Amino acid sequence: MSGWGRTPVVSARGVFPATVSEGIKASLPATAGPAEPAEPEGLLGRGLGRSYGDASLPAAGTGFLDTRFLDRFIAFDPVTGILEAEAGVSLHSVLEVMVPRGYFLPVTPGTRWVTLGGAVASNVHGKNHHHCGSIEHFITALEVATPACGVMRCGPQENRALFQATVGGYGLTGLITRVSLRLKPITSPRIRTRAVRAPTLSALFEAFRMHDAGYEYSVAWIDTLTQGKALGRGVLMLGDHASDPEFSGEARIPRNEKKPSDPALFHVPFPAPAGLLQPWALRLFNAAYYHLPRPAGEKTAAYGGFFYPLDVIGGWNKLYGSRGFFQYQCVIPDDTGSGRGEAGVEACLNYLTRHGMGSFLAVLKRCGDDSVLLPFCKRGYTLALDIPHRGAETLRRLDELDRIVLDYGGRVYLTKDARLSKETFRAMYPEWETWMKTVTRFNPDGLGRSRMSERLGLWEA
Amino acid sequence: MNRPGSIVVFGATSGIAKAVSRAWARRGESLVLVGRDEAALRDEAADLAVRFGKEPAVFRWDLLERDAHARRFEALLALGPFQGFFLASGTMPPGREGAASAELTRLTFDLNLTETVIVTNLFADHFRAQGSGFISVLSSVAGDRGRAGNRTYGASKAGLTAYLEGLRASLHGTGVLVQTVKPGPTRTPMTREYEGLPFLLASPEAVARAVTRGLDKGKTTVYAPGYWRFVMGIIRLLPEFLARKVPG
Repeated sequence: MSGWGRTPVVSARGVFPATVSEGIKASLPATAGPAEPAEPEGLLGRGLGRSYGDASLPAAGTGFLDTRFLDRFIAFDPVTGILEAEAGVSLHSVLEVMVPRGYFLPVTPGTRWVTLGGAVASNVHGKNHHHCGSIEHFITALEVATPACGVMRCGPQENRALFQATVGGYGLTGLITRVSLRLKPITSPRIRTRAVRAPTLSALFEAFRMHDAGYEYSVAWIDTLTQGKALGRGVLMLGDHASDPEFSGEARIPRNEKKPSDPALFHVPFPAPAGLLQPWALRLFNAAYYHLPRPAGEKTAAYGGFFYPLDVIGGWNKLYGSRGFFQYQCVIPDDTGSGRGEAGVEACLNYLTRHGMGSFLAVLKRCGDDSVLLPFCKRGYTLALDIPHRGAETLRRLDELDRIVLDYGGRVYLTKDARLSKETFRAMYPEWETWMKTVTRFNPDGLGRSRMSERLGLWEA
Repeated sequence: MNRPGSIVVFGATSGIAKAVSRAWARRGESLVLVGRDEAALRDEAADLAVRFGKEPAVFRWDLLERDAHARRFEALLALGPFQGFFLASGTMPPGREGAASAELTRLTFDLNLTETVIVTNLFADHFRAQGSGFISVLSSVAGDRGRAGNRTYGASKAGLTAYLEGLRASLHGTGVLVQTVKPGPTRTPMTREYEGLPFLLASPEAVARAVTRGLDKGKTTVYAPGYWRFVMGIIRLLPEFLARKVPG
């Protein structure tokens, strides 16, 4: 098994509970009766495995608990918009059930194949982070099976320490079993979108500054294969929920027996042969994408195409071949508006082009501050790059990229990471010890360790 | 379908029944979820209520409470009328050896065959008297051919397949449809050990589709997914000395 980046690959034993109570019994050795075999090392909770690196992979010699069958909705209150569901419910299911009733996810990552539990563990953010932050602000309650204190409920008020250590806590406080999320009312399933082309990186930053406030969602695609003046040219995509007076939420529940919707148009059957994504092919694609005719004004689009463009290619991670790839996402803070964030992004892009490491997909977003114990987002810019794994060379280059990010006071997103060193992590995340002290209050023996938690030396706190 | 009356889903907390219930609830069918764990049934009912806006009834009935079947059936009738009965309860002895202990062997035959037949007969008589209805029961491709790996389970399902064929003959011309469902290995908590061969695992949703469509078309034997009809067609023709070489 591996994360979405298909590297590293480990083999581990999995447990697939059918119900939440079975899951709690399996993950807490203390509650196991004589009839059920105890898991002395505990089990790491795992959702759909969309984190790129090793956050969802169990440490050597331990097992994982797959939450795919813990996929029941529990309750929905149309007055408050609060949905309670088991942790294995995917964002896809939430959208499928709630969009026809006039509700949307308050925050969504770039794929709908993420479970609620995984979204909480990674404190996911979306294209509206600069306006409303990560998903932490919309979680009203969680249920966590903690090794030390058993099953506990927590939220922004209740058992706040556990809440703050669990959201963005990578599953280390225990198995997340139930999640309550405040959804966002919408009056149309469609998105009003606008695309702004920017011929240079500074024009792109300018476009962000000009249009950001007017739209809830914004994200830029960057062409990383151009050099010189055109370095960092890109397209800023803006979006807002459309409004449709005709759209009434109730009674839009589909009654037809359509095949449960799979947004993928096709599935990549096997890993692509090495070298499919050749630099010239990437350059061609990027140039085509940049010059694609785009309407000057606004148009409306289905929400799937706007938020989840890559979900139409099932298993797109296999396009990077059998060695897999890294997604490198960093945030470069810019709290003073001094332009330091922009300089940092430019330094990263310069480094990439200098070393011919152009990325098929490079995405730039603005973000605000996270407030959980181990925050990723800082007010500034976040840059995400897909980098094919070409062996030791790639790893060395990424280490150097770490140094640039660190110089600008930035940090790397652990949900995407597979290779950050312990030392660099500690320099990027000075909050890590405070966070882990809280984690170990609820999980003193470090049960259900992830491979990532050992790589980063988290249990040494 | 979409005839009047509810559908009884027996063993409603199993992975396949969950998917079948969702497929029916999506169409607006009324359901009665039956199983031995009432709390788990309520969780399934709440899920369907949130997803599709209509809360199914739940009813506790334990296949292993041998002497209670007739009484439970009488009590269940209060939730009628019924248009159909779908049964997905069953057990697979753990391990790939198939040489289960005496206790597990008994449990496998009791659950998958003996008690299932007794309960199915109650519904068969009811639908015969009513002059309409369907009976859809989960057997397995494992019942088509004896295999070293799961011979106990396979034998119980072979028995069930034969029973359903006989029941179909006995209900011929009464307006009652009897459907034998033969899923291949499906991704449910029961088959977690197959995880090493994920490409062979069908999704529960694919099985659910085969069941609901099969009933729409009045099919008597449904392989799920459909390609298993072809695979088992070949495997059934193999002479025994070749059949034992098929991996799995």
